[in-house]
Amino acid sequence: MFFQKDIETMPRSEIEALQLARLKAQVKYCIDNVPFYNKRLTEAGVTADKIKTLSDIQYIPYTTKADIRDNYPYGLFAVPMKKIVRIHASSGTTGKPTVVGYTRNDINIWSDCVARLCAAVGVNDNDVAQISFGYGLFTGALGLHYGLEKLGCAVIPISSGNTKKQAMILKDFGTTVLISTPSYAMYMSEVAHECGISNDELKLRIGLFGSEGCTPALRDKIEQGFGLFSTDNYGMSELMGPGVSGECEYRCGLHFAEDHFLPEIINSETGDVLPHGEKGELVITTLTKEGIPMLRYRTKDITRIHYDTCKCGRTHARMEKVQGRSDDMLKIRGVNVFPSQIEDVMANIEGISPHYELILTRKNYTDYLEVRIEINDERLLESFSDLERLQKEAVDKLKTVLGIQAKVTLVAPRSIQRYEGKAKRIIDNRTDEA
Amino acid sequence: MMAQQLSIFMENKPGQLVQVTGTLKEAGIDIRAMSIADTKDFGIVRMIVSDCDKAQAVMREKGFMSTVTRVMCIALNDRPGGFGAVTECLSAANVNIDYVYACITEIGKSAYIVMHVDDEQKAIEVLEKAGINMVSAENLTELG
Repeated sequence: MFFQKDIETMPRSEIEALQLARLKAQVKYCIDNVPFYNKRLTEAGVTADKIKTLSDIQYIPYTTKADIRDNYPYGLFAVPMKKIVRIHASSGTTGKPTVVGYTRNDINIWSDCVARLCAAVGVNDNDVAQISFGYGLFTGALGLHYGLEKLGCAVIPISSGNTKKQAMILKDFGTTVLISTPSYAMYMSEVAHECGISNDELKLRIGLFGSEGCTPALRDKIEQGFGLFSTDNYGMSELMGPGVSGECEYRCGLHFAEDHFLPEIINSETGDVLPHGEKGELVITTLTKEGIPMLRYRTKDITRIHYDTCKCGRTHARMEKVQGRSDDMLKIRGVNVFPSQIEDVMANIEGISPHYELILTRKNYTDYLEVRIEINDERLLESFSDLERLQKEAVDKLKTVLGIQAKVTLVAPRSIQRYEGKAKRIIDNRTDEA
Repeated sequence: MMAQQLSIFMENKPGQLVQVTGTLKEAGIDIRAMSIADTKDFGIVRMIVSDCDKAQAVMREKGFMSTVTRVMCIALNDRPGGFGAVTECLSAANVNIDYVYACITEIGKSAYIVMHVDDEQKAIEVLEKAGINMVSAENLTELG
């Protein structure tokens, strides 16, 4: 299903022509309205006239999260507050949050982008959508909220938390679409089953999971747990929020809204632009933003982009599921490890729950990785050797995938912390001393 | 000759066993026989209790994972060679013992053996033939 079929299936040559025209306009808009960009682009010798092809974007310097912070709170806004109708901010884990503002037009485009990704998986005006993202400064909940309303869904703005009540409403309100983080969906299905609610009593058919990564293996587990079909979507408040890209029903990558965002892939160490099809850091330029336009924003997310037409008919480029933020990457004994790799290993082992915890320690200048996993199959208790076999299987599979020896600890069911938002699965106790 | 055994998964850390015993005590359940198999990180507690179904229900409420398994119960004279007779019988019949644990009621009287074997039917057959006294679940759960 399409929300804006003419745009979503536009021939690539037309998309690129549109992007070029919009890029020029956005560059001019930034120079004229944001002193920060004016200074930076002038120093780099870039004017809108210098952009003659899309690849001329390489003359524009990158923008980073630090630039947004340095201009806290409103320094990068391109319009006076009179024109701003909404303010969001990202949770700043360190220091000040990054603040973003939207004009009425921004909100409108944002809702279109979200409506597209919802329609792409089959959400329509008959659906009842339960939004179990936390409302607030975070863009996830309101982003989905406006997009789903635009599609005509009945939106239940329950927010996150109070999981038993979530389960009750899933059943009693006949929720058909669930919006949450993948880890919260997993937890909610456990709680629903504990409350004696079976999947037959639920009308759930679609899950729109986002705001944290989710491997296909974990996704399969959530789908089995709830008996639904789910897609992944991507975005960040600096760029807009959810809706920058999203999967269609074929789930072979997340389609960008390329009429509003121009993606590039770069080598995150050298900053060089990489050729189409190579894996690297995703950099995005907003093409139509009015409140806080972003030129070549470094997302720190590692992915690859495919430009061929999708089976669904969409011509907009697709990014692969994010393997991990370059920020999330762990260096363990010099080996690069993404938590998603560990998640993938765990989701493919029978008899354990998808919840896990990684504990990193350092002793005698050597890193140690402990992976705590929950057993969830009672039959394993019949035989001690089955448990030992399970433990060994996990150690061996981790060794194969990561190339490092991890300690695997089996823990009791439900003893690993559950999360109502983004899961925090890594406990890094390493210190610099030893 | 068969009894219901409750197996409980436990992490090997202080306070875990207290939770198990405390929960059973609160529910008025008596432990008749018990064994713990463990590694450094985790263990399985196996026990014969006065009310297995109730015990599983209360353990589940406390968040413990457990399972109920059929095991064999044998009463032996508490004297040298008592258990030897059982092992000889089973070995001759090529039956393997997965695990076994024992409890003695009063020194010099009877000892009870709880065991899980790979071929239950054959084990019963050879033990009966050898005249070894297999006790019912009631015998064991009513032990005082």
